[in-house]
Amino acid sequence: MQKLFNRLRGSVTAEVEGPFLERWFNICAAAGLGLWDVQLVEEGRKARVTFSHWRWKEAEELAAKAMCTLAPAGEAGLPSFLRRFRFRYGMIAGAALFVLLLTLFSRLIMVIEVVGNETVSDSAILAELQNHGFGVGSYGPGVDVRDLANEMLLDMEELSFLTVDITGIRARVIVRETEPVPEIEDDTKYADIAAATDGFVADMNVIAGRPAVEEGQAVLKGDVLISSLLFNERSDGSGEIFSTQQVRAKGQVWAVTERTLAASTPLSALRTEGDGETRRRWGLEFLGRRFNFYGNSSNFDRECAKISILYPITLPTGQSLPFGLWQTGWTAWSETPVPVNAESAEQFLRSTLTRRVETLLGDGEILDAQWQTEQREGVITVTLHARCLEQIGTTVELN
Amino acid sequence: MEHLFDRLRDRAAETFDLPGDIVAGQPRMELVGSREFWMEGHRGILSYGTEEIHISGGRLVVCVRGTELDLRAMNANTLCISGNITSVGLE
Repeated sequence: MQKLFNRLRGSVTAEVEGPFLERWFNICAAAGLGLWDVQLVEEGRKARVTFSHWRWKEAEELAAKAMCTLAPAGEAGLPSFLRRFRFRYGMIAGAALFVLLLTLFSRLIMVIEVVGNETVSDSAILAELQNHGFGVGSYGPGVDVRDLANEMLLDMEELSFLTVDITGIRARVIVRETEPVPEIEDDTKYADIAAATDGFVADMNVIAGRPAVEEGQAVLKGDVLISSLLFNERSDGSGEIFSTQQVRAKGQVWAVTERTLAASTPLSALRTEGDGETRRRWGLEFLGRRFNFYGNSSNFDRECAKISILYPITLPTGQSLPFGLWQTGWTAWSETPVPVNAESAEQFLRSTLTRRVETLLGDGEILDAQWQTEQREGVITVTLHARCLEQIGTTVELN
Repeated sequence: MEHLFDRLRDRAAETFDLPGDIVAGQPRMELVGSREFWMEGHRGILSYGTEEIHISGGRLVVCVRGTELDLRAMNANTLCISGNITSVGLE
């Protein structure tokens, strides 16, 4: 502790010279000026002593009283260390700038984290925040969280709650998504169930309404399958209708349908090949802004591919800071026509058509599929004739 | 007169078995091995050299002899001498 204190206080080593060194030692001691590391340089005339830095003037005056002279021979400790930088204005300016930047940057938002979202993507929320003037590089204390949240909720209907928790350089955007409103059928409106496509009725599941067709019957698109009109017959077995009632028809009608889909693709393609010439340029990413170290003359005068890669500065926790280097590369390329393997093309078209039919069928299934492939004028066409089982009933509201 | 008071204080310290350095203002010396000599209540250095240092202790003079002697630290009350001390004498 004492050593640390001495270091902070600073010490000076001086050479004292005179005929009465002992006298100087004694008057220094009497004045409370502690001396240490006293070494004789010249017997009886000259000695090297160390004392507190801040008592130099007093030591000099006492030396004059003892008819001695005092010459500095070295100094140590914090005061002398700081004095060395007295005239280094650049360093002082740099230190001041460092402190200024540190103060400023510690108030800028560097990392934004979005939590609580499931269906709305982080990037969508961040883009909307950016539109409202909040992003990486924003001045944290200047953000009005309440206004920002209100504006965001007005613009993003998918969100029901939003707040921003700013801690230092980190901003945590906490959101809650709007619960989807369930679709409510209006039972007060009458509706028929009609056929969405042609087919043979395979199965019917009537919940409300009167079946208008029978299983095995052929129907055309638009035909009523389940009618909204109910007939009330007398209970005496005469079959006489004494009243009618209209309801909203509900139910499912499964039918065997036929679907024909076709897809085609050329049997030649253009392959892009780089010709080996690549140019790379660098840029700086700073608080979400990009500063390029090059002009517009870096790209080629012919077709080229441009690839930009950001190398961000990353924290040990894995979060990227809004600082980094951009590397942009331009590679010149040319297109060469190459033949496409017909089998691969057919396979690709078949899988595409299968996916498309499955999308159209929903819960339905393909009962039977027939494929037809045709090559003409450099184009391969695949046609799918599928016999399917699907739900064809669709609600048609009545006026 | 002053000597008389000094002598009285010395006597009082001896008679009542009191510490002389406190009651009579006598110097207190401590030798740590042969490398370090401490003295409290000194009255200043009379002569200083690498082989011999004379220190005033009031009514007596302390002579420290040896080689490579250094005044390691000194303030108004205490001093410390280091080096190869061969003898400490009173004159």
